[in-house]
Amino acid sequence: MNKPDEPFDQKLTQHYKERKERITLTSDQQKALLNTATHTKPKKPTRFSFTLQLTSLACALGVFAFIVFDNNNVINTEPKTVLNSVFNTIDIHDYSIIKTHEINQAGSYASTFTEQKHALDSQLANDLRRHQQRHIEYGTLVKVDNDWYIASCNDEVLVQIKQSLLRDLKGKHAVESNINTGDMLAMAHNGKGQIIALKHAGAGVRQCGA
Amino acid sequence: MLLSIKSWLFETPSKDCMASYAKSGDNRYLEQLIALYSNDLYHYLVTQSNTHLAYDVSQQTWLKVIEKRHLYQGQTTPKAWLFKLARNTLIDEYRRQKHFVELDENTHLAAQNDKSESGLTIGSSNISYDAFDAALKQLSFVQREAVTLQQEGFSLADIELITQSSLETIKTRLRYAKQHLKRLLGANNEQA
Repeated sequence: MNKPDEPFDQKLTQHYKERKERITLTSDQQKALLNTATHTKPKKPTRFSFTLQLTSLACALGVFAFIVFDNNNVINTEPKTVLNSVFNTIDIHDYSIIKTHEINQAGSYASTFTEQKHALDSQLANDLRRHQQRHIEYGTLVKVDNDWYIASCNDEVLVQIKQSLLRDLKGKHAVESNINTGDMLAMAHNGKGQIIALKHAGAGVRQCGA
Repeated sequence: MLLSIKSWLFETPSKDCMASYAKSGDNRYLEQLIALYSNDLYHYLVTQSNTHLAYDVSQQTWLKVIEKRHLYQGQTTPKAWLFKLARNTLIDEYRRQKHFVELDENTHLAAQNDKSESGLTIGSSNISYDAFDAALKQLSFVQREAVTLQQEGFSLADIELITQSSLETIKTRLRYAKQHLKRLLGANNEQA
């Protein structure tokens, strides 16, 4: 740290004062400044910002109401929670479509789609068509509780297999043993889009896109 | 009773005219502010530019005071707030004129010589004034600013607020500025 140089500082202050005394506004300039300033009507930013705040609030309320009421029209929106597992964390809202497969109380096979509202109609038509085709769908088993949750290799689809269907498939020996969370599975669909078997994907399919 | 009448008749200026003006918008306070600080601001602006631009920016600053008075908060001194406003206005003006984009230690925006100043009658006792003026103009923008603000009586914290620079940066600028000035003034004295 440098020591303060007092004589120089004093000299500096003296020079500065002298300079400041010389450089001042002329009386005409000062009058003109006063005149300009005092005759300028201030804008009213507070009123403007208040209006802006009101408008923003109204918009926010509108959006909120839209979201709330629109959500009420969506059927079977559960589960809405984030599914946490050791293997992965899934937010249901990351998926456009949730396919649920189960055997209902009447004993017949039922599958439903729960669509997030942002899914496009055209996507729905395509998915329905794909759903009804006979094919093998691949996906990773990400969560097991009573039901199984399989993140399909079709990124937008989470397949939920309910306990009822699992029980039925196991009864028919259509579920391979030793399936664990994190395994890549192959889901065999029949011509109606129903899941008829669950097994490990072949050795060649270790991950989606492989 | 007499005291209250006296204070009503001869109202002493509020300690913080800016706060009063921000609150009421009363032109009386604005006039007080102009009377108190217009010359200080003008001198600072001349030091950082030239008389023509300084007057122009000075006018713009006072108009901004009117527009932005609601943004003033009492935690800073009114003078520091006004200087910050003036500085920002000057920099905006420089950027508009594309004089410079970034402010750093090397930005050498030497204050320009004004004919009005150089035309002053200078007696033998004023040699040091000219030397000081010339030396000040040779400093970089930020160093000249640091010295000017310190000489205006601002604390380091105030300068920090006005220039939006760190304390250490300001100390360094001041140290270098004084070293330069000392060297330049010493050289001038030797020449004289």
